[in-house]
Amino acid sequence: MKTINLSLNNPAFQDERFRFSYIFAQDDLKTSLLLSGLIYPPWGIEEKKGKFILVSGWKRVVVARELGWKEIPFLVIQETKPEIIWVKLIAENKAHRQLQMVDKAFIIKKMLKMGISRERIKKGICSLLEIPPLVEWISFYEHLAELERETIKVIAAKNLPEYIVRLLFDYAQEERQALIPWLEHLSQNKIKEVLENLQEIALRDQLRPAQIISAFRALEGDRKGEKDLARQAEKWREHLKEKRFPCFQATFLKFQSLLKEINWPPEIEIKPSPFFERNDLRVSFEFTNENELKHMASKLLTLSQNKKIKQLFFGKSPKK
Amino acid sequence: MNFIEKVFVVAEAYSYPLTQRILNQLQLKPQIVSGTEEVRQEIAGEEDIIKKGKKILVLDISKAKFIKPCPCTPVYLGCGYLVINADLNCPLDCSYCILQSYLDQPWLTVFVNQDQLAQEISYWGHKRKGYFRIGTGELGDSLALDPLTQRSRDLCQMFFSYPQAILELKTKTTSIDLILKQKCLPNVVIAWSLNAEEIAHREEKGAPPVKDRLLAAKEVVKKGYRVAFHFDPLIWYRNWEEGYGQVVEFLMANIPAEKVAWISLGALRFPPQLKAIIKKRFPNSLCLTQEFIRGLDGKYRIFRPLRVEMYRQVMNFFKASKRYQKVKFYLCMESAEVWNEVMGEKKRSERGICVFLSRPLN
Ligand code: SF4
Repeated sequence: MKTINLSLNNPAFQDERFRFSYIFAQDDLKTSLLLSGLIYPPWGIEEKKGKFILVSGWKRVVVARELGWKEIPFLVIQETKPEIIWVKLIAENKAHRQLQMVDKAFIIKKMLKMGISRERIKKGICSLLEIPPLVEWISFYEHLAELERETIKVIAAKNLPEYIVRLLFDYAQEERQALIPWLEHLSQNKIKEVLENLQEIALRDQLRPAQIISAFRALEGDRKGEKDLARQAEKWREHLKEKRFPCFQATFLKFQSLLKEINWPPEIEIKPSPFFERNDLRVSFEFTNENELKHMASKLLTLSQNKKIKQLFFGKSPKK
Repeated sequence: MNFIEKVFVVAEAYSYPLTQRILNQLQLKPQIVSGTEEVRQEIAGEEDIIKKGKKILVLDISKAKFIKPCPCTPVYLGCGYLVINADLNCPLDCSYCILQSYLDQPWLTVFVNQDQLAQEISYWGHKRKGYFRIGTGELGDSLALDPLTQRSRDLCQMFFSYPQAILELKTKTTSIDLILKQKCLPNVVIAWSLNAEEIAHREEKGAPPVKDRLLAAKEVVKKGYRVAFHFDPLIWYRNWEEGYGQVVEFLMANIPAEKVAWISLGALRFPPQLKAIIKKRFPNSLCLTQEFIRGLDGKYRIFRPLRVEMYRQVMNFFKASKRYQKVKFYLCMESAEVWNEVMGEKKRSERGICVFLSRPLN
């Protein structure tokens, strides 16, 4: 092992064979480098005499460049077997942070590119990466690393779980690209809801997701200028919910509009059973003395005499 | 049975007559194991464990009770059915099959200790005074493995002395050879799960077309058996009315109403954990497109007005025939509210439904 000084223009810092972190926040690292300098130098290998390759420390190199540094110390280790280098690199990273799904994806992609077989990865690397030792999982990560940069960014930023990433795989690239600006503004749960609903509507109506996206855009056409993507994302989500659950949404809206029609007082809360699965309705109100109680009771009595009240009750027997 | 690739025999089960009968039929060298852990190791690492499990047969001893009251589902109305868990899992591969998430052992298990089964049947046969319904089709298909196990024949023999016990053998297959060969018992009902042909084709992998199932039912009726039909799960799709209507029409044209013991209807429902499995194994399944809500039991169920609409429509198809108006219909795992909406207002209880269905027709 030896430490040398290397110019940041050295080709060692262009060879990305071992690089796996592409998406990361720079601010904290910048502050740290400014305050304390480079405590842990990046390390790498000497492939041929004088030809170095950076293995670990990509973030530090990127930030050092940003800060305008010209040269940094570089630790050269005596190891040439790619698989062993990867094991060291992964172990080192795991010692000070949790590897994200995106990190694992790039690790696997790069290993495969170096010619390390799936079988070797399955046997020697999967457990280190804490992923099931199955070819199917290796393919999952490979696929993830192949996604377009914007999608990977959202996956990393939102720390999306495997299930949602698989949902994203099901979409074509243009579809994902159309969706990403909205997904960026939604929570994990809402992203899942949007992706599932869109997929299920497409399957049910025998359409492509792209067609559903275009139809929504056309509907929103007159508000094209709307810059507020967060609001647009919410609208898109609502739109999909209505399309996915038309009967439930219509029933719910009908219930609401009926309450309006019969002037249901807001101070008396009325709730149907969850998803109208039962016939019962529940009312609740507050009172602090008997007069208030009488007042509420008389309001309910008046409401019960309204002819339209019958329509609130769910579920009718068939005509005999 | 050439879909079976490997057969394991748990050592304790080896000497049972049923084990020997199955091994003679199979012509596969069995692997004798001390327990099912070794079977689990065999399939560990498979990409699709469920698919692989359907090709592995395990002959074992049941240490639990064979017969249990049907668990139905919490909150909804049951029908007092008893289930016999003699075989677990099924070689067919329906997208909506609950067993995919229910069984923690994904292989086909045949419990060979039929002596214990016979004892339990005798216990229930003496315990229950009135008529009661009992069947094997809860954790598998009653006849899918019958050519191999000949279980139907053994069961019929065991039920011979208990005429008030109505044995239902429920299937999606056309494996009726053995049924046709044996003497018909009045307390044995052969039942078929039916669906719209399009759904069967799309969602019930490995099962024969619905028309073939009904033609098998016709054969069984000719032999003298009573039959039953389960339109379960009803699935909402673009042409559902036409699809189910055609099946009902074909059924009524081929099966005399007097020979129908009961017909049940049940809309698609499943526990939430099944969704991810369906999505993975059957990404184009229509089960993923239903207008689901979370039911009172926590399961996904089709939104109530849609369920009611399907039930009413299928019932209406049957009501077109005067003869079929007399057939007993029931709803599987439904609430009293839905029963009332579909069948008319009445106070209903599990006991009442049980008596109504078990009472003999003729
Ligand atoms: S026939 Fe029944 S048990 Fe067999 S796979 Fe289909 S649903 Fe499951």
